[in-house]
Amino acid sequence: MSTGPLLEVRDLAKHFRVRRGLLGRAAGAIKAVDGVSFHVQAGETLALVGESGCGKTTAGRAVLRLIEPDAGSVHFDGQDVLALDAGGLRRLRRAMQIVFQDPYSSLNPRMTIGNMVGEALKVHGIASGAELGERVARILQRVGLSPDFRNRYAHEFSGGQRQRIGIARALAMAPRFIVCDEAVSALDVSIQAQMINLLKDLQDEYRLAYLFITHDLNVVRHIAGRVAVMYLGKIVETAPTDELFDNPRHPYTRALLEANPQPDPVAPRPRVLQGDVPSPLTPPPGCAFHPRCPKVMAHCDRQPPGWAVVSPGHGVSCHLDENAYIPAKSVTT
Amino acid sequence: MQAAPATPANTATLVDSPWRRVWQVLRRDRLAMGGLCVLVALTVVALLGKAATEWIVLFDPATVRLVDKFRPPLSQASALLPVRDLPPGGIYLLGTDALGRDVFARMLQGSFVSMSIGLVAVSISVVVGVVLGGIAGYYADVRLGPVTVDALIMRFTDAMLCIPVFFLILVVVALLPASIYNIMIVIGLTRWMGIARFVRAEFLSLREQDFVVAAHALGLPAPRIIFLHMMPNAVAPVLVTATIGVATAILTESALSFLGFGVQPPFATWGNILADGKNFIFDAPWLFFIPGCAIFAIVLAFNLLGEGMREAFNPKLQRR
Repeated sequence: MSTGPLLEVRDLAKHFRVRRGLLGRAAGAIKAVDGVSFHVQAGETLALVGESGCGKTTAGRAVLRLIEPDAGSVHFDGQDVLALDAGGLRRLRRAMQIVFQDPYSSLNPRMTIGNMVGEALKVHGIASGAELGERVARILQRVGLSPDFRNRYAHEFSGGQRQRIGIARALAMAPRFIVCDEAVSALDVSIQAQMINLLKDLQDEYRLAYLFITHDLNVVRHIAGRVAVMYLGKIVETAPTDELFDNPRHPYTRALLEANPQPDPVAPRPRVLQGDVPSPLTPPPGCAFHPRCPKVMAHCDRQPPGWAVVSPGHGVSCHLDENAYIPAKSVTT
Repeated sequence: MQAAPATPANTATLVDSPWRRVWQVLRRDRLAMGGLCVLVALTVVALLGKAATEWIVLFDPATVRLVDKFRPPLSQASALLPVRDLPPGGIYLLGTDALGRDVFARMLQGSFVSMSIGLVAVSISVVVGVVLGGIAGYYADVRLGPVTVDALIMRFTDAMLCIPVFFLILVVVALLPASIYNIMIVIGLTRWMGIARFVRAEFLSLREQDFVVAAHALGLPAPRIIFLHMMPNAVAPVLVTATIGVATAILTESALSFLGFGVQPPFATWGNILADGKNFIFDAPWLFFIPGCAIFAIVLAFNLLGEGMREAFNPKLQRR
């Protein structure tokens, strides 16, 4: 086993070409993910946060090659994921899994949940016959479902139960890394708490690493050790969770934190960020955030900001921290 | 006394599968159930009729009895007939035609032809449609030279839709011997386009669904994803189209036989009985109305069942 991080992503990019007209002339490209770098250690949770449309889901799927990235590199446990052929990728899938946001569309409506959870074990030749049944029962039990439910179909379960099924399916092959793509966002708050506790318990038990994609900062605080903030396909700030909440540097991170609902009704009203995320088809020049930035400066619309490390493990991409810039090449986020 | 533990048998009855839910909605639809009953009855009749007309002399649809021309339904057979030419029970249940052939026996033979042509032709079109539509939908983005697989297959489908199917069938039947098998194949190969479009559309939308992405993430092989994960979720509209398609295929066969391009005499089909009957519509109206009503009944039954299935597959109705 290598000593580096479990997952190392460098300059990952995915551009969706937009075609127009009868002959499909290329009319531009949406830079959904545009040079994203991060790493995840074994047993650690990295939260990837941002508004809808910022590319966080695309980034998560590109890491698993569910969407083929256009550029960059992904190394999992020292293995170059993007260089794998179909067979190698299939073997790697045992170690890297995904849990989806929508507990309704993520389960096959015409399959029993026992088959759903056991299918991959069978196909990969990990277990069969009585052993398969036993493993499925154990996994279902572990996520808090009765093994008696295995012959039922997904529509017979509630949203929270369905999400447990989704987790069981991801867990079946004993992965080491799971992308949680808004895994708790569609659930109501009490179920959310149960699910976060379940995910944390599973993490402790199996030393799982999570890439936790979400827009909900309250959830981030409970589960993540580190946070990466994304805006328009780029990471604008990364920091350990407590550091990010206590000392946000990027104006966008600050705006996100302020927009986060507070349980205190007499707290001062937050400054709400104006406008929408600009179209990723025509991102603003310079710093992509400048049209909405409350602290915009004269050169923000011309010069893209570099990467500044403000304290160990805390990096930011903003002209306000320009005196802390270091050359981009030597950065590990 | 202790409560009996749940045995596998009684837990199995609790399973609420998606197919069972469809059946429950369908069962409440009286028209569709009526259609289904008619079809089951006709299938039994067709199978028994095939056996009877093949092997039992009494039911031989080709027996010519010139003394008993144009006998109306339920009339007694003539005493002049030799015993081996008598109809079953000595009675012409549905009358006789211009050559004194028993219309009941001919209808029995024809029912098997109509049913088998309908079912086989539709099976062919379902296979072709599902395979082409499935490939177009699943491999939509794969490029073959300048065009995508999707564009290639769907433009071919469009081209096929532009050809007036009936004339194409007439041309093919004029060139090939008009055997029952050729007619099945020709009807099947000219009616798959709607199914291909349906399946492609379903696959395009299923491809993006999370449970299919999850199947990819689990490293499942493509055939498994296509046949176990996507296909069962795409068959509902195919089944509906196929059911209604059987009715259309039966009509097409009848029309071909009526025009004389279909299955050739002396082999009886509903279409050629009707064609023979049209010359005697005022003298022997049963020759015209019996096959006409049979075609009407079977087409109506398939259509009612198809419509009922369309309703039953509607997820909004299942939730009740």
